[in-house]
Amino acid sequence: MNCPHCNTPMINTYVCSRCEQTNVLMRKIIFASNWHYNQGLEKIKVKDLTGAATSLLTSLKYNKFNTDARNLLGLIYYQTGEIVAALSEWVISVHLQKKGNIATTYIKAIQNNPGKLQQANKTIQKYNLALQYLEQSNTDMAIIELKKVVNLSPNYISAYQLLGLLYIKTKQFAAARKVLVRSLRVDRNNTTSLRYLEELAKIAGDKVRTRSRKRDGFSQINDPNPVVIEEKAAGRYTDFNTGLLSFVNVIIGIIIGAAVVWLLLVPSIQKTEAEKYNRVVVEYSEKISDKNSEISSLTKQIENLKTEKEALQSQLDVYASATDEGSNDLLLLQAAKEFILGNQSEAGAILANVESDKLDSQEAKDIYEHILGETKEQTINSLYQNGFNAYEGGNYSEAETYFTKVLRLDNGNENAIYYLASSYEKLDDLTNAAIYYKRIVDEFPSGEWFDVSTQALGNME
Amino acid sequence: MINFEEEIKKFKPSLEIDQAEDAIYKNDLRDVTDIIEDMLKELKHSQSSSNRF
Repeated sequence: MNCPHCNTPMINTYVCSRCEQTNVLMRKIIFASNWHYNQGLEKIKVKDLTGAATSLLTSLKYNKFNTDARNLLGLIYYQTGEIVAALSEWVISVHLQKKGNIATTYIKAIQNNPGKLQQANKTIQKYNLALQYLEQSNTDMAIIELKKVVNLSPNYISAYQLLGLLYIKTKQFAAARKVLVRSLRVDRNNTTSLRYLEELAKIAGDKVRTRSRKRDGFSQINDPNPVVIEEKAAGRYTDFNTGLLSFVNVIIGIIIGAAVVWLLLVPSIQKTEAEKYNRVVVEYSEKISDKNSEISSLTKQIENLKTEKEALQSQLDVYASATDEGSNDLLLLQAAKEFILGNQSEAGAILANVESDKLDSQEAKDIYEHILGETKEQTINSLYQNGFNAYEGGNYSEAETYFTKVLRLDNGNENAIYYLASSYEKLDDLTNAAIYYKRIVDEFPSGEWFDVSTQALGNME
Repeated sequence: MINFEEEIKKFKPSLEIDQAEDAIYKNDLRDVTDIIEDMLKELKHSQSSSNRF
């Protein structure tokens, strides 16, 4: 509108910027627009979005340049799921007031989140699809689509209302009440939602109320911690122990839970345990098999080693006998050397150690006999005396050695035989003792040691 | 009693994103000021035409 005095255009003001005259009509228009804007603002504060939108639209009908009213109207549209309508208002707002307009921020926020914008568009498409289904009288499919819409956009008022209407149509009154009440949580004074609820109360309210009374038989009094339930029909009251009921319910719940665990979890646990056990058994079987093969291998090795040992032992025996023969010859040579040097007693002592039957050659035997013939008596006396001294001193082992040597030189020496038998007896070698005692008994029946030997033999038996 | 067919007809398809441009251009932005201006113009026009006669 232009100033009636100077014809200067007056936009969103009632005071002319040129002549500074106040335009009364313009002032009334702007005041009326602002009054409706304030009304809209108050309604929004109590979540009356429909009323607020009506007031803001009226405000804009008075003054299209009321940017605050237009931006607020866009926010209401955005809140109720009408994103395109919201964007339209904000774009117009920015077109009418380019500088210092918060609508620029709103538009940028939507442009910077294309995913959300796309999701909102999908929601709108589903809503429109539901309307198409309704045109084709396909109510069930429309309900399915509208359910998706209210899940995707929980503030989409039109979707709630249409869904509620369809629930009423299909006689799903409880569901209809639920969605309509939910729509009123977003928009408290939405006349359409309130009208549908009113109709719903007329159609289904009484039925629901009557049914619940008949089913329950009791109605709970308004007590936050009820322990007394009033029975309306009979006009009496009954004590009702809710604590006991809760406890019973908990016990039943625990039993059901335990049964579910037993039926579902225990078999799988047992199966797992059995598999584990089988795996362990297989592992141990493999180990036992390995050990068995190892044992058989070691047994074979032991047998081989035994055979090898026996072979070596026989070889060793051969070498030992050869060594004995060698040492026998050496002893004979030593005895010969001492004999040549004139040490007859020494020669005899060495000769006593020589085992004449192991001498191979005839020459060695001749030398042995010759030296023995020259030193025999002296050597036997010396060895016998040493043996006797050892016997008297209790050294029976040494005595046994000396008497054996004596008998090697003089096999029929009665005293030596007796003392050798007695030495063996003292050394607990009863077998050898018996042999030599028996020789005394057999070979010398009238000898000095006959009675003693006979008695000794009798004791041994 | 609700007339379901009539009620369902009241629900109009929501605008999709690609329809936003059309919605903006088709938006009726005339306010009271525009109407008064038109009325004043019309009044002036009628006055000038009556003066000619």
